[in-house]
Amino acid sequence: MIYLILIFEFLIIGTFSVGGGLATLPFLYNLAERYPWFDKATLIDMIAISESTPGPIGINMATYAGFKAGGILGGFLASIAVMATGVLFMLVVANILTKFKNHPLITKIFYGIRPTIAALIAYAAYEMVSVTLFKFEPFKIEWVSIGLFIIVLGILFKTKITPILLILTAAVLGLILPIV
Amino acid sequence: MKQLVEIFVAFFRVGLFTFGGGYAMLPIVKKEIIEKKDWITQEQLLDYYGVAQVSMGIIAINTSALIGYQVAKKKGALVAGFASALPSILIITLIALFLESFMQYPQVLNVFKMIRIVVAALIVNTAYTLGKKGIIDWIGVVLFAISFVLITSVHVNPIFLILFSAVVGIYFKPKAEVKA
Repeated sequence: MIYLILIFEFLIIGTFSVGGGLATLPFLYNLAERYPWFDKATLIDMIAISESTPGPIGINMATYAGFKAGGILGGFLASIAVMATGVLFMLVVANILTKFKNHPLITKIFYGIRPTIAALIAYAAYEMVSVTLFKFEPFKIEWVSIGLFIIVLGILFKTKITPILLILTAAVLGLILPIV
Repeated sequence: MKQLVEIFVAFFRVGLFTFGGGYAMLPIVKKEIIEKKDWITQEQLLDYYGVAQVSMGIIAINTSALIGYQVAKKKGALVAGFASALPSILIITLIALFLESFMQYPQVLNVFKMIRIVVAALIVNTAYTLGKKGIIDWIGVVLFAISFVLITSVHVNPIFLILFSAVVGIYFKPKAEVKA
């Protein structure tokens, strides 16, 4: 029974979360109010863990919340449910895009949205840089972090190194070089 | 079948090394899916990420499903979507089972901080290369500038920006050739 409720709730959350993992947050707060699965303090911890660990935040949150409610299977079902309607919708969209790939209207829409998508990615880059390299309240410039950032950026622009290797190196470096 | 396994492995890697929101998947997709596999173009990545952003569901999973469809139709989409979610489901389940307090260890925070520095550099690099692909004329420059300013200064909902730029794309005639 708990599994059916989880599937139903997370299908709804997935369907109405447009625009990213953090869009699921209000829904999860709502879940915390209606069910005894987890409280709002736990939810804050869940957000911290979901943002740090690999994978889409929406999936991380669904696995975590589902686990709290119904164990391992609960986490699995909630995650599948939260992505289900999106993936099904993508099947329809992909089908249309493939059929009308060279239709002028599709070409023009993509021509229009590409610069805006580029701006959204640039914004993500801007946010990521400011949050990672500067501390506000009290204001502090993190020189070591900035130095490492510039080195990595230089490597990226000069070589064809794979991001996975860089991330693994960072993880190892993080164990031996304290910067927090 | 061999191809579906290949899709599964590629997107499992994408999910495993995406630290952060949907945008954090882009550097990994660019290397693993575009440069190594040549499954889609950089322009298509911009398009799919845009479509995923204005759709229901999880942006990263939707983007994976759209790419998977290009490679192997419906099965490809389902495999890609599931494979990119699976690392999250496994990792969060393990954390919830054994390591709920692991965020309290300074070494863990240090590793994540180091990874964030690399991710910040990756996003800057990706924003630059995808931006060069997506902005092909002065209309693109204007759209990019408007979107970037509106989202950084007043946090306009990205969905409105994308819909607005789609309309602009339909209305104006491209000043350069739009690549598929």
